[in-house]
Amino acid sequence: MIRYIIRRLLQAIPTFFGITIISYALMSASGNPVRVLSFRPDSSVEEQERLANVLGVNDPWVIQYLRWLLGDDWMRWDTGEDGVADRAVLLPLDADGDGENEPPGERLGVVRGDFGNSFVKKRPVLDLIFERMPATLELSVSSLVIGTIIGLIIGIAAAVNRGKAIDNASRVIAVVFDAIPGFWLSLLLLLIFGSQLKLLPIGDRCKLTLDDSCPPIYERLEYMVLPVFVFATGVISGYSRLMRASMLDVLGQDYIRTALSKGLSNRMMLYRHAARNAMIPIATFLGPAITGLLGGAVVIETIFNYPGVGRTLFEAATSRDYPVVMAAVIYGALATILGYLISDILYAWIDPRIRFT
Amino acid sequence: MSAETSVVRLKNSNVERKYGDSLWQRALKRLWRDKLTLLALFVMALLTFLAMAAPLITSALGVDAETTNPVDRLIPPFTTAPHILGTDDLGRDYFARLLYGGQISLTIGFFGAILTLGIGLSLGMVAGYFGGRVDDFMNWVITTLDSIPILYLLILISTLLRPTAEALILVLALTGWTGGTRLMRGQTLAIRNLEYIMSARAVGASSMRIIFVHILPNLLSVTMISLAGGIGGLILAESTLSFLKLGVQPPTPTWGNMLSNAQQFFTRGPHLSIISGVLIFITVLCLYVIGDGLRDAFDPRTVD
Repeated sequence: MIRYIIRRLLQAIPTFFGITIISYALMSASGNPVRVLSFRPDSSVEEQERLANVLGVNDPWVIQYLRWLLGDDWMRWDTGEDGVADRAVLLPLDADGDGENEPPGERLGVVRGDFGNSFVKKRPVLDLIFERMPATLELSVSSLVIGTIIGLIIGIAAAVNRGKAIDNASRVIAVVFDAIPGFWLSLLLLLIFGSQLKLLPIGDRCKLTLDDSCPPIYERLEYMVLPVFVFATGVISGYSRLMRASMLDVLGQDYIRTALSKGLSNRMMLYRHAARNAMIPIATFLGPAITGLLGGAVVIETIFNYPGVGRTLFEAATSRDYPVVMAAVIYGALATILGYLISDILYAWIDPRIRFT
Repeated sequence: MSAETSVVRLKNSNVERKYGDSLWQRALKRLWRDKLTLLALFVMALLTFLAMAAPLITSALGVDAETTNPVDRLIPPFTTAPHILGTDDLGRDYFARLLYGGQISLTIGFFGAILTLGIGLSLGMVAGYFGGRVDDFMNWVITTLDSIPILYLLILISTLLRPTAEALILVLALTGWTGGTRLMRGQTLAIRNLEYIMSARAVGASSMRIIFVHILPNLLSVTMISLAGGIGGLILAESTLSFLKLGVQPPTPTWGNMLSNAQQFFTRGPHLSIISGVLIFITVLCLYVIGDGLRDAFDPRTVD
C-alpha cells in the first residue's frame, strides 16, 4: 500500500512540472507583464532597456521560467555581505552593463510558494490566496458532503426501483442538473428567493462588518443555502448516476442471490451486502467531483459575491493581474491532482485488487 | 416459374433478412421509434432555423439587435409592439438579440465540437494505433492538461486575449481535445487487436490504409454520439465564459453575455434573467437527450 502511494506521488511530479510549463508559456505569450510593473512614463529608452536587463526580461525563456519556478536567489548571490552579488550561475553578474554587479536575487520561486506580488493589491499573492481559501473550502466541502449523501441515496433508490417512477425521476434530475447552466440557476434562485420572496440574502458571505470578518458558520447559514445548493447539483447528478449503475451491477452478482437464498431479508441484503459493495467504484468519482467544484467556484462565488479563491481568479482575470491568475491556476491544478490522488488511494485501499494491476 | 429459381429467391430473401440491416440502418430505425430523441431533434432544428433566419425575422418585425434606445429601456415582454419579448437595459430589442445571440452560441458550439472531435479523432487514432513512445507522450500531455480545471485554463487564456467568436472556437478546441482523444484512443486500442486488422496487416495493408479504411469507419458512431454531448458542453462553456465577460464581448450578443448584467435589473427587468437562460438550458438539454438517444440507437446490446 505504501509503495502504491509513493508510486502515485512520484507520478504527480512530471504532471506538476507540465502544468507550470503550460501556464508559464501561456503567460509569457501575453508579451511583457514586467513592463506594466516598471512603468515610468518619463523614463528614456536607455533607461527602460537597463531596467529590462535588471528585471531579466530579455533573458532566454528557459532562464525566465526557471527564475519564476525556482527563484533567483541561487542564480545570483552574495558571499561578501556587501549587498552586491559576487557569484552567479545562468545569469550575468552585471546585467545592466554599468560596471557594477547587481544585488543578489531575492525571489524564492513558485515551488517555494513565492508567486510575487499582486499587480493590483501590491501584496504577496500567496497571502491573498490563503486569505480567500476558507470561504471556498466552507462552500465546497459542505456541498460535497451534502451532494454525495443525496446523490448516493437517489442512486440506491433508483437502482432498487429500476424502471419505476423513482428511477425515471432520478434520470430526469441527473440530466437536468447537468444541462442547467450553474450561473443561470444561481441567477434564478437569487431572483426568486432573494429579490421576489425576500427569504434569503442576495449574495455575500455574511452581513457587512467593519473588519471584513465573518461570524462562525452556524450563525450565517442563510447565506450558504443557495450557493451550496447550486454547487451540490453537479455532485448530485454525478453521484446518483454512478451509484445507480454500480448498484445495478452489484444487484446482479451471485453473492446477492446467495445472501437472499440463505433467507436474508431484503433490507439486510441491501444495506449489508449491496450498498457497501456498490460504494467501491464511487471512490473514483472524488477526483472529477473536485474538479467540478473548482470550476463552479469561479462562477458561483462571483455571482453570490462570496470572497473565495474562485472570485479572486475572476477579479484577477478581469484586471489582468497576472501573478494572481497564475497562482490561482496552479492552486486549481494542485487541488485537482490531490483530488485524483486521494480518490486513487481510497480506491486502492478499499479494493485490494487494484494495487496489483 | 421453376422450382429451382424459387429456391434461389427464398435463399436470397433469407440472406436479406439476416444481414440486410447495417449498424446505421438499425440505428436509424431505433431512432425513429425513440420519440423523446425525435422531439429533441425537432426542437434543435427549430432553434437552429430561427437563429439562422435571424436577419429575415428581425427585418420582418422591423427591429434590430444593436440599436439602443434610452427611452424604451427594460420594456417587459408581450406588452409593446414591435418588441415581442421587450427590451434590455439599453433599450435594444430582446427578441432580436436572442436570435443573433443564438446564432453565435450555436455556431461556437457546433464548430467548436467538430474541431475538438477532429483533433481527438486524429490524435486518438495515432496514439492508440502506434502505441509506444507516441502514446506515452500523449498520455503525459493529456494527464497534465486534464489536471488544470478547464474553466481555469480558459480564464488564463482569456486574461491574455479577449476572444472573438472565431478565436473562441479555437481556444475551446485547443483546451477541450483531451476527453475526445482519450475516448478515441481507447476505442482504437480495442479495435487494433481484432482479427480483421491482423489479417489486413497480413495481406500487406499499410498503417495509413488500416487507420483510414479499417479503423476510422468503426469510430464514426462513437463520434456521432460524442458530437451531440460535445456541442452541449461547449455551449455551456461558452455561455459561462461570456457571462463572466471573458468570452465574446458586447455588443455582439451571445446567450451567455446577455445574462451578464441581468443581476442589476432583478426588480425592473426580471425577464433579462430568465429568457436567454431558458434557451441555453433547453438547447443543452436537447443535445444531451440526443446524445443519449444516439448511444442507445448505436448500442449493439440494445434489443429491438
